Amino acid sequence: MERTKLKRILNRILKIILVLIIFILIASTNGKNRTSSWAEDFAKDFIIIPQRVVQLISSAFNDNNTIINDIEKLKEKNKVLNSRVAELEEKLADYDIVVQQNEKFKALEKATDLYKDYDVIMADVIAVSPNNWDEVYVIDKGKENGITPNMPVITTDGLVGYVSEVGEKSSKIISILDASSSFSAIASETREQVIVKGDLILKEENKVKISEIPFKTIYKSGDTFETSGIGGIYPKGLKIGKTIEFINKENPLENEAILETYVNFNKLERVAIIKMP
Amino acid sequence: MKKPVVFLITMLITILFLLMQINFLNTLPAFGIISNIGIVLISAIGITAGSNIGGLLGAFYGIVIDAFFSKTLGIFFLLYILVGIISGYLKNNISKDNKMSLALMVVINTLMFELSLCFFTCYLYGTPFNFLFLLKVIIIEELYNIFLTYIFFRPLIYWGEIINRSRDSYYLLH
Repeated sequence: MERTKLKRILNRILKIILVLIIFILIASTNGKNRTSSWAEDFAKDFIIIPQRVVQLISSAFNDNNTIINDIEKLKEKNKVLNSRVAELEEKLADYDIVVQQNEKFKALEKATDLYKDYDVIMADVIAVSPNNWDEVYVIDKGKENGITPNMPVITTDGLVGYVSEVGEKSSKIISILDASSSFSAIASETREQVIVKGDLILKEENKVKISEIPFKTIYKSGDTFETSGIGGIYPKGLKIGKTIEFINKENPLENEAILETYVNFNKLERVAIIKMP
Repeated sequence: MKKPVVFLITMLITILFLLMQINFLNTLPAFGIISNIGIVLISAIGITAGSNIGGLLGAFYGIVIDAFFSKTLGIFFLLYILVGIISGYLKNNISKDNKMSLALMVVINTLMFELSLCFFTCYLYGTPFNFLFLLKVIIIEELYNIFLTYIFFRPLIYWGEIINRSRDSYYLLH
């Protein structure tokens, strides 16, 4: 009986001591910057090591943690960058269009200056004849736009040819490269009159032939030629091209020159048809 | 296949070939010489479906080329009809089952076509005759057209056979 009583008293004393120790610990550690003791560290390690493992596993599934979060972030970043790239590409395409439009406007401005002496109708070339013998172009303007046969056709670079046939909404142009084409021209410098002719072989290289060259005249490379105004189709002063070769024949009256046209017929897109008075 | 459907599809094929010539082949010259897919088309159809249909197709193709590009109306009309008729007449002498035969047909037609066109160009428009150019056109265009023949041989012969089978119902062509 006395033994059990003693045990109860000891238990209560131990409990009181434990509570006191806890209070002392609380009191001694509260609100102080301190280094943990080895005992504390040892105790922590029991928790920290498994905690790390659990944390790693859980972090894999946790939005707030590293691996998947990084992938998600990368994906998100990628998405943002992709949309940014798309946006920039769109802007770049717009930029290209703006540049093209700017070039067109510049060409139009140049054309306006160049064509100020003439009343012109602008037209687009829509097709080229599909055979090897002709140099016929089809434009998208016709009778309803005021085009009539024999109107001269030019670009900002120079003479193209003349309108040979007019439809309601389209017209045919025979270019100066066509082998049947022949018209009067003058040398810009010497004002000598010559004949410009199309040639089957030369037409592929945007070249024409000059014949009826005045006796003893030699044209050097770079000499320019323009329309003479004789013949009834082309008005005077339309630029044709420049000399690239002079061919001396046995009979000097048969001398010829090769002229490179100012107009690049391989890239003929927009032309101006001159309304003749 | 019913005759109006065959007729309509044949016209659509012809227009497609025409557009291919104008927009694609015109921009792909070999040494400055362009091919002529119209000759390939009309030769292939003519050799399988006969001279009537070949001629009719040639007429359609030629009149369109004339209307759009020719300086004089009727030259291409005539030449393409000739291509169709010649192909039709040679139908029984040339095997349509191998590419070489059709290539030979295209060679004959191209030669006839370019020589005639040279004649018309020089005679009607006063273009000075240039033998070197004529030779160049014939050689390069022949090779180019043979190449196109090898590409389009199967589908064109196949379509020619379809036209041939539905021929009895072609009341317009009999």
